[in-house]
Amino acid sequence: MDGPTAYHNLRGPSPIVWAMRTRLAPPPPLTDPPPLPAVPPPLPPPQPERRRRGRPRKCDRLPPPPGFFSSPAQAPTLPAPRLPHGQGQFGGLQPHVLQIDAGEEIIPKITSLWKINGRFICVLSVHGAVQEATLLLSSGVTSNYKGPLEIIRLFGSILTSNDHGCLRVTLASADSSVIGGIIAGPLIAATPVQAIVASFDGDAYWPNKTPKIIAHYPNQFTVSNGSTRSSECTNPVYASCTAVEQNESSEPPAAVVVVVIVFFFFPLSSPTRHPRRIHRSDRSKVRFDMLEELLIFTRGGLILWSSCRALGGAALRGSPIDALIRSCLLEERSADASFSQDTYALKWTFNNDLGLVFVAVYQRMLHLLYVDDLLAAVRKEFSQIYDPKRTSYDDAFNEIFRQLHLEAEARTEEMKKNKQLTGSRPTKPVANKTAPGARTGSQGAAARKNSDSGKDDSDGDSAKEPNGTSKGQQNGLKDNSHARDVVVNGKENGDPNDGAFDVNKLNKLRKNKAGKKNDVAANVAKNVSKAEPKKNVKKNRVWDDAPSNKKLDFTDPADERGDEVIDQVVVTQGESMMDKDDVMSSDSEEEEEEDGEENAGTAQKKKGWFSSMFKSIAGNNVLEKSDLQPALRALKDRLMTKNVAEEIAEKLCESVAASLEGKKLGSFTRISSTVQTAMEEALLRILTPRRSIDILRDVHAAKERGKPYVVVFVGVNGVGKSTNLAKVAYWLLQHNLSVMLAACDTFRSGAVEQLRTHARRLQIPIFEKGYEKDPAVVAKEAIQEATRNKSDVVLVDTAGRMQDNEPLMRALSKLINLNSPDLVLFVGEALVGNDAVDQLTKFNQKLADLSTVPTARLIDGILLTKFDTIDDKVGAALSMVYISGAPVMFVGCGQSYTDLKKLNVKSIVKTLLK
Amino acid sequence: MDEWVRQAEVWVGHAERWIRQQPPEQIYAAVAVIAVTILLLVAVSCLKSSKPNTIVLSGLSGGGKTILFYQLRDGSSHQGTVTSMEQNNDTFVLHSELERKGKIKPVHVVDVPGHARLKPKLDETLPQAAGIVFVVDAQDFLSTMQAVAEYLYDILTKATVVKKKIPVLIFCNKTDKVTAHSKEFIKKQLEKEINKLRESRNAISSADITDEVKLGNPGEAFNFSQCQNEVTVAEGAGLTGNVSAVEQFIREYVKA
Repeated sequence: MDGPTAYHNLRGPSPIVWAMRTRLAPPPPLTDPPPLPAVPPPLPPPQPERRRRGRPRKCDRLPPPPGFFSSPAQAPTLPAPRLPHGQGQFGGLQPHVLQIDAGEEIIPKITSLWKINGRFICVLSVHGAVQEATLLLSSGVTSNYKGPLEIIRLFGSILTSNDHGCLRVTLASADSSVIGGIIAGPLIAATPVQAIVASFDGDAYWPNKTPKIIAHYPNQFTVSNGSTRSSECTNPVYASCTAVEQNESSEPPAAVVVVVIVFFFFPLSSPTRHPRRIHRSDRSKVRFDMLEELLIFTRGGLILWSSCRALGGAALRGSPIDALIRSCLLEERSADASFSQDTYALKWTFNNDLGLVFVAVYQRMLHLLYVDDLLAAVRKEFSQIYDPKRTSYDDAFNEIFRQLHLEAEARTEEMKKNKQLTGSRPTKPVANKTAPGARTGSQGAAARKNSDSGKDDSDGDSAKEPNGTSKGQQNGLKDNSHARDVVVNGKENGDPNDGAFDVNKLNKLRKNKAGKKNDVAANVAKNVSKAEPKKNVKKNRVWDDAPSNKKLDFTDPADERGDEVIDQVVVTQGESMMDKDDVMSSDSEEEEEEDGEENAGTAQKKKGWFSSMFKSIAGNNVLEKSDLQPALRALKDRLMTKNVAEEIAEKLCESVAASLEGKKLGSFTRISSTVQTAMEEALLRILTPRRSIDILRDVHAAKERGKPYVVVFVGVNGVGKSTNLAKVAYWLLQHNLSVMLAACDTFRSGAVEQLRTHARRLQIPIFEKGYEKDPAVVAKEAIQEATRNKSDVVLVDTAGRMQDNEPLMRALSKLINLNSPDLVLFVGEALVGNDAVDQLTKFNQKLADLSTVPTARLIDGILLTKFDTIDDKVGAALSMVYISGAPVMFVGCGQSYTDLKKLNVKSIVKTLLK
Repeated sequence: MDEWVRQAEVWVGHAERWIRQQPPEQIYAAVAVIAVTILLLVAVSCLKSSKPNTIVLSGLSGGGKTILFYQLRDGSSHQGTVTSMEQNNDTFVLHSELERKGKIKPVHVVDVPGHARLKPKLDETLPQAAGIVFVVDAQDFLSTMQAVAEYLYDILTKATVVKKKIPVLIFCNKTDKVTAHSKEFIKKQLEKEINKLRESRNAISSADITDEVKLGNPGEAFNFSQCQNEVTVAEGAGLTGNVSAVEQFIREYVKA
């Protein structure tokens, strides 16, 4: 019976450790930063020890965020008494003692450990002396040292997933000088060296979950050492490492105290309020901390310009940009408003014509108001100087960016002032919309008109002209020249940014003009009071103004602010008559706008078909949103007739629109065909599995480890879980694998008998415990049984359950978390339409929410059943894959055991677009 | 039938008479023009069907393909890269050969994004390939080994690759790092993994996997020498500019 315990140890903490952990500290929640206070502040270690603990904090800003640093509790000082705790938190932190003989190299010894057991490694302590060391110094120079050098400390960690194994060493030489740096070559032991190294599991490694430590460190550094930094930039990987190293070595002793104080102070203060406080007291320092990074790169992946590199600032922890590209932009979710990764929030915008992507990264808790503004402005300016042949824009763009950044910030500042003036806190979108109106300095009505027109995405500039003021026109013209640029974040506050930006800039010049502020205040008040009617209007126009509607869906800034809108409305309810008035006016204005659009349309027609013909032949036609709209609508309808969930079709179309807008139409191509090809590509991309769906290989791998491969089938009632389980069993049997069934549907009468019948027909063993048993326990016993009789695969049948049934979902979550299967297969029927989205989201969500362990298992794959019954309505496959990101692993398409297929992606795409 | 023949003879006679009436210079000129056109067409088609000059950079995301691409083109990795969303392609003379005198044939290099979702893009570029550079992350090899092997297996079993015997260079990137694996180790592990894959892939029944080609000799452990096309392994580091292995490979198959 040692099977289960060994199993348990590998998979997670033992119950005892678990209990200890819960007693010592509650398990960290999934989304929140893990509690630093694994070290309670009043610990008694002496000052130097604290200092050591404080140090690595700065390293948290490095690209490799070593798990070692993320929890100072595992610092080398107190390994023994804290071990159980450490084990609990780190998925089995195991200490190893390495003895390295004189004359041997130290580093390969340490890395070999990682190669042996494939776990992450952190070096806890090393003592001894070395005879030769090659170090990368803070100045960027690599130099070689000879002679007996005593190791003061050697630390760092090796994380395979992050490709920066950063080990650093501080050495004392014979003349008692201290050398420190990153190990860049052989480190050869002079005396026997003893190294204590800890290895820990990959799943215990949480990058970037610690709160940000202190805002102004990197800035101090760049201010003092800006010149050296630029020279190091030639080696991007080491640059960031050396940056910190330098900081360390050049630091006066006083800084140590600062570190300690900060370190103790930090756990006490709420991380969300910390940066804001700094913001109040010292703006100039915080400036680049508010916006972590602004990055410009090509769709091909080459970084053209980065604010961090150009203007100084700390490198990001982890790689949020790669995460953004991989899990958002490449998944056809680019029409979303923002993306969060760890503690960062990211916003982006495209210039499709030039193939550029602009991404802004900032701390999620900051809710920066000016990011959209800034992105649009940066895009506008950068597009002008962009040249495909050029790869470095440091000299040209640095100053422009500084300027734009300052302007954007000034604008937010002003918005805040406005807020104070009105004595309330207008929401971000409202404030944004007010801005253009207020700035033109025209009368209230005209201003409102302007702000409303800004709300409309495509024809912001055309509607601005009737404003009549010269400023407005100027802006309209300016906008026109860049109308082809697209702001993808339109969802959150529409497209007015583009317009707002210029008007704002102009306005700043006229800041001092009298009587202005009252005007602004009045406008803001009116707009605020208008908030509710606006929402009503939008509800009616789901088809085209969905962006602003969806704003409320996002948990990011928009969410709480959305709530505030409602608050505002309550406050100003006294003016309801006014509101109604506004409803009317805004309604009519919208109509006017539409009229205007039509007028523009007819005007274009008047220009005659000849010019449009000429345009299409010349192929210089820039695609605009209004051009794409009809084709996309047709496409969306087509997708929906193929049974794609409405929500998904809508999102896909938005994403395709975002990727096409601003592109030049080739000669002799029609918009509809362009859209069609873009959609085809998008669909192909979505349906292509992200991970391997080769189950047989995984089974063989599990077999080599001597464990059965466990597959759990989950799904709603009556989709065919048991039937398809039997088909999968048959398929596995054909490949000479021994299969065992586990009847964990202990709920529906007849379920066990059904499975038993299948087992008899297939001549395979079945593990059953009758009804009314806890399915989680039955599954566990089944797996033990399979381990004992050396079965290769265990197929676990579960009871069907509706996604809203919480007790049953909790039971399922327990089953999955207790047994940690190799594959959680969601069985869904191809007949399902809009409900597919609901089913999968809820299943995934419930599995995550109801799990008791921090790393919850989600759905890994999809089995699509009843595929033979749906003819060409194959949309469910797309809906399910899009919503869950999991690949379709099998397709059930008939009544016999052999009717199990793989999904043919190409034919599905073809059918969907037929 | 006879009637047609007579008719034809009449026409031939007409034509002959007409030709005799023309001045001979004109006829010679006409013949010359036709001959030159045909020759040109033949020459162009010959050139086109001659050796393709496309080198495809493939491999998993994060392996360093884009860096390699810019190293080959500009001899610098610029300011670093992020995950590619579209392919980079350009025709250029290798950076290391810029100083060389004489006319050098430029190479067309395509850097195909490695993200799994973009795998279908590879199929579009493979038919024109003169060589494939498969970039492997030697540092992060163990954790990505299976995916790497699978991708490599897909490439090696592509019908176009096998039929045209497109050579493949497995380039172990990032060997400047201390923790990087050696190319021998990587080669051995990949062979082992492909061997496993061969079993499980051949077993897939009723799947719609097309153009599947059997790899290696059945009943024998797989190694790269069994491939019909040439598979070589080399190492280097894109970031530090140590890409001579790739340049050598390119020049071997795209003659300067």
